[in-house]
Amino acid sequence: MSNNLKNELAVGKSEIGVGVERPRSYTNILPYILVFPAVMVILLLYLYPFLSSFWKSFISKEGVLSLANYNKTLKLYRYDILFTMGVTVLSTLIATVLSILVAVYLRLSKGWLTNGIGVLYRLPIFLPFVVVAQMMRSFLAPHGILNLFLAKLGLINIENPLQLFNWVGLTFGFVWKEAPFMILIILGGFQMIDNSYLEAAKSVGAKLPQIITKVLIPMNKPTILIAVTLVFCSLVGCFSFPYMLIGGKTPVTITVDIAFRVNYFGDYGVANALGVFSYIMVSLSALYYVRSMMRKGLYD
Amino acid sequence: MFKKFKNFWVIFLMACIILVGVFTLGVSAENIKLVYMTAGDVNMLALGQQVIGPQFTEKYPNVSVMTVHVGPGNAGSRLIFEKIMADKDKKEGDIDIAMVHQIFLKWAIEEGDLLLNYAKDINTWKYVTSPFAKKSLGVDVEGYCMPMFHSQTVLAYNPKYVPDPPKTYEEIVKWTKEHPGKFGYNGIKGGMSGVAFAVGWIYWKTGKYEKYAVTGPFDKAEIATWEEPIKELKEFNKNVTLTGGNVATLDALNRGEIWMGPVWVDMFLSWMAEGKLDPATRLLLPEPGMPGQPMYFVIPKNTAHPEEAKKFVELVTSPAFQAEEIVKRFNWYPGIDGKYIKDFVSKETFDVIYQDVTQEILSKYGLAFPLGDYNDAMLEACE
Amino acid sequence: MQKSVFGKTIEIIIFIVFIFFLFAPVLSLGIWSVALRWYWPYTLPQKIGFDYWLQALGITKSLTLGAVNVVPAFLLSLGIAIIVVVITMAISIPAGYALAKLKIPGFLKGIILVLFLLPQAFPQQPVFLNLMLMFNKIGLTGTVLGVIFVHLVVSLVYAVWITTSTFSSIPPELEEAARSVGASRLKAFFRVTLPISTPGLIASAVFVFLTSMDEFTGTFFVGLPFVTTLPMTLYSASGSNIQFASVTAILLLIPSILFMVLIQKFLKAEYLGGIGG
Repeated sequence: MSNNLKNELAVGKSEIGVGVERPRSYTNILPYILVFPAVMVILLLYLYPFLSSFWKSFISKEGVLSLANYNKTLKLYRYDILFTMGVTVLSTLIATVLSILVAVYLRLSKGWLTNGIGVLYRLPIFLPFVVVAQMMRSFLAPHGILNLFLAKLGLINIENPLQLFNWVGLTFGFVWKEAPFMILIILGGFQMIDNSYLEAAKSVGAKLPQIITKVLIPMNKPTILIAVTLVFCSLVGCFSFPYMLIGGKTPVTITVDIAFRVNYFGDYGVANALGVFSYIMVSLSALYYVRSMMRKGLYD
Repeated sequence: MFKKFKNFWVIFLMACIILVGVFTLGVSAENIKLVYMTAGDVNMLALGQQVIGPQFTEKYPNVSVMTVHVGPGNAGSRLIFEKIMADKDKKEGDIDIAMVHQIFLKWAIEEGDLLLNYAKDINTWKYVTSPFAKKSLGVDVEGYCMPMFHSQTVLAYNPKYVPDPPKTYEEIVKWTKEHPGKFGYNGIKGGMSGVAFAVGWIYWKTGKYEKYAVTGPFDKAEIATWEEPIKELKEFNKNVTLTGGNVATLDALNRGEIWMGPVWVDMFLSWMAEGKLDPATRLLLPEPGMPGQPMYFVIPKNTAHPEEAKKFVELVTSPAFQAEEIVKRFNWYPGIDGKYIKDFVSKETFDVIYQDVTQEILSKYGLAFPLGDYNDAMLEACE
Repeated sequence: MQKSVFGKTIEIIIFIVFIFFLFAPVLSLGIWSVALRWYWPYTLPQKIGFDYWLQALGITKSLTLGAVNVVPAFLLSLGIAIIVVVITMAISIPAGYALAKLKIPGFLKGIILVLFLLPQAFPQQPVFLNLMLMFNKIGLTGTVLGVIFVHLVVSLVYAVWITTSTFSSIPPELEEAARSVGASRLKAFFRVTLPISTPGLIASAVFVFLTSMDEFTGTFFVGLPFVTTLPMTLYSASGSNIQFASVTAILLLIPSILFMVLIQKFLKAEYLGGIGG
């Protein structure tokens, strides 16, 4: 068996010339060959339409190259752009803090309660945003489940319920959907930190908050950064949830404005211009991530 | 370790079998397959799949109908437009018949060369008397479309909480001051029911319905005259609940958050049938009126089966079908003139659709949406 | 960590609140899926029944309920998802390995990783519309192959990022030990690296499966008119017919939750720990 394998591998070796002809240049190219198919898919199938949309934002209604679309966008949707930025940043922040707390709890605590939470928290990961949107509409409505429940507890008056079809409800829904994903990733990072570090910290008298801020978080920083970037980026592009929750009211996220521009006016110029503002937001966060990873020397 | 790989292959094989199965199910034995793409709600899809399709195949056994649904509202019509546009240069497009909103026709005629001028060739054309069949949002569409059914926006109200409902826009304003938050609509984005209300507001305040919706011409100076009415509308909005769209308004009615709001008659009736609205809920059309719009059948110019497509439209616009399905089953307003349907339907059924909003009220207060450019200008002005 | 009675009570209260916020929204979905008649001021439906379920499963065909048979769409979504997983993993495993283990300049690595982030991040409508126009010219619209390509594009981010992290978390000494006793790179990969990284790779496959099952915007533009997946059915029913939408949503949930239960052991968070490098 192993002889056959050795023969096969010998044949393979001479075919690709590993270690036989020119080892150095081959190993130089190998990584790029391996990455090639995946990168090609994105370049061909995504980059072209993406650049096309970028280009179209500079073509005005009359067909000339101009910034007219951007003027219109800023005039009509300036507030919405800020709103999108604000809600996304806020949601990401709250989700991060919540995830870190829960991940710490799951890492440090034991017992049936902990194990239960450790399994159940994953539920929202498996629900697509369309479904989450549907659920949140019933849950957060003025006479929806949350308000009815709070009213039954006597915390609010049902005639004056919590109005959640706005940035508050949006943030709630975003955090609800994304925090479990972040918990999964951050907890993974925490699990990699050996107990000995925690013991060491405790033995020099560190209290729980210090263990969290001085040991767990710094040692897990790369993982946390990845989670934050992924979540921020997917929230910026989210359409179904703000559309169903807020719909035609203002302020609303950029994605809903894009749909409105297309479906009522057929105006692709402004739609693409709005898209570009999202691209900028995402690029900033992605750039920040790449730079901080490089600074840590993790990609050397 | 290799066991896990084996599992992989098993799943892969299963996937292939599933896919093959799904696709052989889809391949029909008939010779011709018509693709019917419809905007609107899920009941349009059900109608196409379960009523129109089978009835058509019964009449013409070598043709099957595949109904595809794109979604509600302008978004659905927009996608159909994108698809037909994308197919423009092909010799044979994918779509044979489409069911669309008014705004689609405006886009399509402006783009030009997309639609077949078929309506006068079919024998149900003589039953159509509505002006909507000739002009849509001010654009001349004669021959390019046939109305499937007509829909009207109305105010739905719950008489348990609103024993004496306001009957004019003027009274509505007064009512909302006395009952803040109990009137809801979706503003000018997110749904045409809200747009209808806002447009009706402008018609009321300016009194210039004829110019904006019927005769034209488009006069940019008019936009300035809307400043006052729009300011007043924004004042009015302070006492109402702004909802997210057509469905959100109905949702709010369902949950008792609002007691009154503009809705599309066909959506209202569907929700009633599905048990989501209090059966006591009634309708009224406030003076001086609110716009309505039909939904149209169009045929792309490069369809592979123009004759069969025409026969399809003929079937759905025939008096028998309109009477049985449109009026009796769904309680919608017919696309063809009501007098041709009277023979096919009992007096009771015929009266039901005009129960709350009678034919006189409809003819007096059932308006049209403004002409294309006015439409765009109004929507932008309100933003 | 020792817990006092006070601490335990707090824990239980937090647990209850947690359960409420986690499950109550899902509950509303469940209730609506069986509600035949429900309006204010009744807190629970006046009439319940499985009519919408029967409609959705194609067992009955009534026109008063705006609901249609979703089983073909369901099977199609499932089939496409499985094929997408296979193809995505086939191209991401080499890519992840290269990015994690092989010599690529730092900034290039960063750029490549961010490249995969784009499709998820940017508003999808304008870009996928252009993709539809592009596909239309080569005849890929309305085909399953076109839809598969779209799903590939959006799920690659999860596949590549997670496989990269999985491979980075494997100490290089392991592979070097294998190579120092004469194994070729390929053999070392298959015999040493792959078995250890299997749990992480499976986690990656799970995310790809979920992304493909849930993919809507791109599928919507490219798939019409002939390809209808379950998220498209859900969207077209969204909101307007709450009962039907709830039934469809629950049907969409089922494969995903089944996966969660089955792959529970593989989703042990340890294996995702190497994501940070």
